[in-house]
Amino acid sequence: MIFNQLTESLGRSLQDYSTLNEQLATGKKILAPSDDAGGLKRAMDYNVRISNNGQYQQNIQFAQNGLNAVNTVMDTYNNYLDSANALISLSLSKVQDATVGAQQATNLRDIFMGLGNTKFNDQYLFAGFQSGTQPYAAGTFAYQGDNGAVNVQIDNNATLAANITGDKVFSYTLPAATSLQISGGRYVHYTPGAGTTVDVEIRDTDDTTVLDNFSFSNVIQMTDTLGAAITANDTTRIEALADPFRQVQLQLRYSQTDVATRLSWLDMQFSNLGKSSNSMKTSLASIEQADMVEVVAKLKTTEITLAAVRESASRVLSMSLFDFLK
Amino acid sequence: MSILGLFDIGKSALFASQTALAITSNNIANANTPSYNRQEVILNIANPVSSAAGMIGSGVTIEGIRSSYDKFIQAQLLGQQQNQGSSAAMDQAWGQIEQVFNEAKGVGLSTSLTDYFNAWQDVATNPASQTPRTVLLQKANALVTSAQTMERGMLDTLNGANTGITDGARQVNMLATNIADLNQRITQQESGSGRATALDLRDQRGQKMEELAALVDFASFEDNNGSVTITVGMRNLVSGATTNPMSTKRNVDGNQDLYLDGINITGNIQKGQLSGLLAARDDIQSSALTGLRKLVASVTQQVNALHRTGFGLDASTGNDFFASLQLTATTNAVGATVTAAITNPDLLALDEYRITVDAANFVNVTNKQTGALVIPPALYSSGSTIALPGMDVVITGAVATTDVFTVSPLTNVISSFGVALTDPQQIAATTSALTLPGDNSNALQIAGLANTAQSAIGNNTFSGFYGGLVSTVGVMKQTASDSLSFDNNLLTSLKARRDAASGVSLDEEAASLIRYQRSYEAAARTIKVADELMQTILNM
Repeated sequence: MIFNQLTESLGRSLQDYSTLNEQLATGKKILAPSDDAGGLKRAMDYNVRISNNGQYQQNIQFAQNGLNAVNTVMDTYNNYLDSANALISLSLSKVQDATVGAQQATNLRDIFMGLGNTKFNDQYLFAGFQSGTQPYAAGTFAYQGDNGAVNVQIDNNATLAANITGDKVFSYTLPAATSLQISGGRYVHYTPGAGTTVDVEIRDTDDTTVLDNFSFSNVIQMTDTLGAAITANDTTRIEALADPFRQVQLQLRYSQTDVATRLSWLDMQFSNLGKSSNSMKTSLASIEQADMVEVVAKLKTTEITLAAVRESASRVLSMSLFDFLK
Repeated sequence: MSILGLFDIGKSALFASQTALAITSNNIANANTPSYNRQEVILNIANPVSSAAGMIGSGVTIEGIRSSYDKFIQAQLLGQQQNQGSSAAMDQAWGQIEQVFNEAKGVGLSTSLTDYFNAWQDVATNPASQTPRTVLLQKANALVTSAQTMERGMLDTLNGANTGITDGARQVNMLATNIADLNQRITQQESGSGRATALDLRDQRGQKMEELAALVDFASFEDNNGSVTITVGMRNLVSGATTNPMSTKRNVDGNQDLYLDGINITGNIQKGQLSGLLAARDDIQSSALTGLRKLVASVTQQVNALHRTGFGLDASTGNDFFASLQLTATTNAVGATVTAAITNPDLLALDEYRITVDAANFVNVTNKQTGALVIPPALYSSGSTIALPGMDVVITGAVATTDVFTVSPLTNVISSFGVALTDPQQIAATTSALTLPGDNSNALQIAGLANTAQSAIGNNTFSGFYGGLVSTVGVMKQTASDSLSFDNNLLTSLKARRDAASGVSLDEEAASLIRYQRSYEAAARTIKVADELMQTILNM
């Protein structure tokens, strides 16, 4: 009977010792689901959410990279728009040679087209969903992209567009027909067409006789038209293009603000996700990690218990009446 | 009394001491024999004889040998042995399942499930790029591997349980045969004596009954002839010298059921290792295994539903991402067969159905897990279609009331789980061919499934449902461990009580040895003295 009791005690103590050793080695207090089923489930939830946060941060970084590239292009584009506006002024004042002016216009057109066809990560930056297609075609300079927003997940229930389409940067949408009077008492009427198309009609002083008309749907076409007007010394057309260039630059400012806002939001969200993950990691540690001081103390206690049981066993089991019977 | 009377007295003392020494030696020899009950000799005063001086005692007689068997403790011990047997089997089985779901050590599905849906996020952020698509296929294959490894682990445990049940039945039969044989020998030995004299045989039988108790719960009673009748599941296992062998047979679910006397006694087995194996097997199958299968089926169904509507980079559409769900139709009938086909994979209910035909020839379709009726009973007609959510079932032939048909979309869901796509270009990240390649909306929707409550899994997200499974396994194992610990402690306590009452104490036997040795020496001395007296008289 005593033997059985002693072996049971030894077995229990050894089992406890083994468990504590494993906790010490792994630093974890939950070694199996049965150790703390509820705690493990909470730990699993935290791990999933931390992993998701990490994925969202990755998505944010991808979006930030793309939008930063967009920002760089827009800054450059803005500078060249200033140049275009300056070219219009020079052309109207006839200060510089028309041939030089026309060449400048052609250069600006090509620069605008190059900016519009910028690639990032081997995809066209301003083509919307048509990221494999060059947004601005050579020759016609027509926009071949679409207005697709490539959304990325930045939180459980939040997405954000990681791109901006060419029609929002290199075009502007005329909300309603407008008109203004230019030099010589002539009138220019701007009428919205399909999409970002603007139909321009230049009328004589009677605002009835149509002297000229043309249309454009983006800044590249506008610049191409400007170059032709400079070559032809057509100051009326040049003057008619001044307001569209102002409008497209205003549109650019809106887009730059939009992108800046998104980048700011992404920064904030990235930071929030980081804080949230850190907080969850702290909670996770409190669930998963063993208190080393406590484990070591329990280990010591178990060692002493084991030693005591062994000592007791060695004494008790060696005692027998037979030893005293000679 | 004559001098010869002295010889008789000495002789009786000698025989009594010799017998007592033999019994004491037997006790010492069996000190470590399980279930051995300490024996002691019952001595009585021999009938006195009349003499001139009055009635003089004529020595000692051996009335019999008594065993320190405590019936009450033994009955308690048998009962507790049955409890402990059941707890041990449950603890072991759930312990094996716990290792399959041991997320504490990173074993399980959680990481691969999260990685899979995060890989869809990567495709969504860069839908035209090849790299995240290739990675997505890798993560999907990793998910498949994890699920299949887990299922294999569980099936191994379930197969082990079924094998354990078969082996257990075999051991029960062996023990029943041993007990029946001991019954016969005890009856023969004790025949005519009117009391329990075959003590060693009874101890052996007690040991066999303890071993039997560890396996299965039984009721026993001893008749006047010393023979024990044992009933299991209200059927006779042992009756005198005869036994009814226990057998096993596969049921409609492919699991082993227990039979005795041709009757299915599975439901009547409440304790013992067999009960533990049965309960663990059924619980594991209905909770952990079915739960995991349902999770995989739900992932397959939801991902495929969205994927089929999307477009790959190569403009392909209508493709499943994972291998499509399949139905398993099982027939347990003689004259009829069942077939089933999926009519709408998106509407397919992830439930298992049991179909029977009652005596009134009405077809009853019940949910295999809950037992609830799925559709109103309808009159059976061979070849007619039974429409269930997302599937059509057809039974043909002559049915009997004992026939059972099972239809399930879950049986092979994990074994046939696989990634249907091999070409990353076919991953349908886009919702329209017109918005290729940059449209990521379909990929976003599929990635969003990770955070969407799914009705098929109790309105939980995939991770939430899986976490619940892990938690359930943990609780079941904890409960089994606690029960085992309690039962072990109680069994140890009862054994200690039994040992205290019936066990052999070597110290006590050592003292008895000395006592009876001295008695023997004194008796021998008595005979020597009587001999010397006789010599004196003869030499006169």
